[in-house]
Amino acid sequence: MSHSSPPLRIITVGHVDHGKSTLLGRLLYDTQSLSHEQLVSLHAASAAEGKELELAFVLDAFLEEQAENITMDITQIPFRTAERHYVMMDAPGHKEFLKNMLTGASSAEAAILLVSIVDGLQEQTRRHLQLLSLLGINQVIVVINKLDLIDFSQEAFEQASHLTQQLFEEWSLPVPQIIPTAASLGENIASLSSQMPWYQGQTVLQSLDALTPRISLKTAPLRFVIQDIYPSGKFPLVVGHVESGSLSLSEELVFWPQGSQQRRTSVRSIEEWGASSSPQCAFAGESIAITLEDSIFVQRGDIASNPQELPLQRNDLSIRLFWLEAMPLLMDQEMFLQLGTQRIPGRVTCIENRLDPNTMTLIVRSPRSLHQHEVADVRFHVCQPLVFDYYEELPATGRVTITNEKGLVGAGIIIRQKNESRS
Amino acid sequence: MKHLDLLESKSIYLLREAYHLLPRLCMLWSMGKDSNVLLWLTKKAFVGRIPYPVLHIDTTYEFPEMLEFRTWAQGYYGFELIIKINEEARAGRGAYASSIGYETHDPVTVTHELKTVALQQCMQERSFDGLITGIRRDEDSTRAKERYFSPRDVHFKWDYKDQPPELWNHFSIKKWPGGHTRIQPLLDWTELDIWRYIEHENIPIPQMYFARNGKRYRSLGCSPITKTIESHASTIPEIIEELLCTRHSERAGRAQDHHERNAMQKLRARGFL
Ligand SMILES: Nc1nc2c(ncn2[C@@H]2O[C@H](COP(=O)(O)OP(=O)(O)OP(=O)(O)O)[C@@H](O)[C@H]2O)c(=O)[nH]1
Repeated sequence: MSHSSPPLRIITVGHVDHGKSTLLGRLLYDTQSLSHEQLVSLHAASAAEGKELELAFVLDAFLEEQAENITMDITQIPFRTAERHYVMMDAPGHKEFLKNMLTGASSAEAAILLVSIVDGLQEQTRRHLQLLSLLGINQVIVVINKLDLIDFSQEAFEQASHLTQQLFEEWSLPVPQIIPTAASLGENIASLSSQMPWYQGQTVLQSLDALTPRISLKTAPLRFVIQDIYPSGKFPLVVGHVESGSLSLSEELVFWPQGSQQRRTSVRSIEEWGASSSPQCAFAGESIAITLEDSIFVQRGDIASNPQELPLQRNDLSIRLFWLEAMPLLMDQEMFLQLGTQRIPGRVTCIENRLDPNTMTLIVRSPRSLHQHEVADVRFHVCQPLVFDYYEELPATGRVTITNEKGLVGAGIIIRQKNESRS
Repeated sequence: MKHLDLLESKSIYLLREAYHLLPRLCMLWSMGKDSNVLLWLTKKAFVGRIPYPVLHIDTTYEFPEMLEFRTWAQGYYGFELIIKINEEARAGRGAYASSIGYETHDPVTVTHELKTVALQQCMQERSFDGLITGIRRDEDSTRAKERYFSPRDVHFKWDYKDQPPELWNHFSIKKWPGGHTRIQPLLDWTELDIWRYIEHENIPIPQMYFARNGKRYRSLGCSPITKTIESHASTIPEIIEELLCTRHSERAGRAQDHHERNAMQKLRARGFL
């Protein structure tokens, strides 16, 4: 096993009580991933709540969570198989905690969607799936859980998988793999179930190991997000994060907004404290410090590209927006739009349509407001041009968050309007 | 990108964001392995500088070897060091009717008074609005639920029932009188990652982590309540090998964690790291 590649980040999602925490608890338990101390406190907590063994308590660590058997906030647990490393994230299924689910999902590469065979597809099943699709997470393993409650009936499973498949098709998502399980009993989790001889597919564990990690962004266009400028003698240090692409010594950089002739210069050096020799190039994912050949004006919020593959800059944008805050979004309210390290005041000028999470179809054309947990396509006006890419082209510089005095209140992706061209 | 490079990059990003967003920042340093990784990452983030004060909460129950390391490291790195002791609690003065210590009190009480309250006093005295900590998600099941930027009110309360959303490296800072933000750049790291990084970068750490006479410290806290583990690991590769095989938790030797059911949740809700 190689420890050198980053762990694959997986999130469990689905409606409240469908068995997300139990599934992860079972996976950790059956693969002997829990420490002696974790097992001791798992047994103690189960006993204190009058239960034999409640595997969900491995993840649901708060007393409040254990007393009510719900997950309140994301838990992240490292996990390793013979194949690779994972970070497993357990999301809450309760509507109230959707912002926590989103926090976890925003860093996930793949998801396990749980559906209880007894309850079927529920409101949060659909909402979570909607958020996964908004976030571009298209590797989803579906687990139909609690088959013990219907005597492991193949017929019931096939019916439930059919409905799930339909839902995926309606939303134009790739048809997922579907696994029948009883998480609390460990059926089809780490080993194939003897209770369901009719199922010969992969276990949950096998299906995890079959996922493919996201491709590297090294060869994508360069987007170097500037965090700060640190004084350092004649050549100030420009520090930031390479979101995509790469840059190398003496390569020409174009700084945005503007990208004009006055905002072009080349990389003089890449600085690294403690390095035996100074780096020649830097790649997507790296936090770097560079100096520039000419003293041009650069500040936090700027994005550098190469001269060939330029980002866009505009004052008016179309955003597919998810609203997190209890106070509804109203038009013309002042707020901040954030992308990379840009933070620009602006406002929603038009809510074009609101999507129904149940069907992903339009429910209201031109509504006046957007309520908590709703998704809509909006027009957003910023008072200075925003530097961006369309999400479908370069996700890292195509996603935005919205803040106001309450904190982070919205998240979305920049979409192309029907009549918008690239120029 | 390689795993350790990615972890390092993310931590550096977080430190730079903290430095930009919070004008009065300080960093906790216990001289332990995670703290020393934090110092190292700070040097990397600011290309050789340590631009904020480094704070040691001294419980007066420190291992002498750790104090030696403290003096050595201060000379080596050259940072501004703040040493804070809750003197009133130790002496039984002011708000305290009697002296607080492991000889007379349970470990949860002592931890709260000599660590959390001392930290509170220091944050107030110096009006810090940001505190960089070295906690990791894999250390404890409630730390597994932490955010990179975590708001704390004037009483240090962790409002774990309503944590702010964090997406795509965007963090919002809550401004409230007397409150502060915790910045936790090591959340994604595991104990193994820490050791691999220390090995890779050759980061100085106290010798107590290495086995002597069949015993070593896996996690270092106050001397009366920190136990050794049986071990023959006297080099970093041996420690890594040991960790790959062990079935015990890192903080098994820390008494305050296991004092009662969910002791850590209760301590942490009141401001403990
Ligand atoms: N009979 C049966 N019960 C199960 C199964 N899986 C989970 N449960 C039970 O269902 C209840 C809810 O399980 P959790 O794992 O806490 O559900 P969850 O989806 O994590 O819930 P939230 O995180 O609060 O949304 C618990 O009482 C579990 O023991 C199963 O396969 N069969």
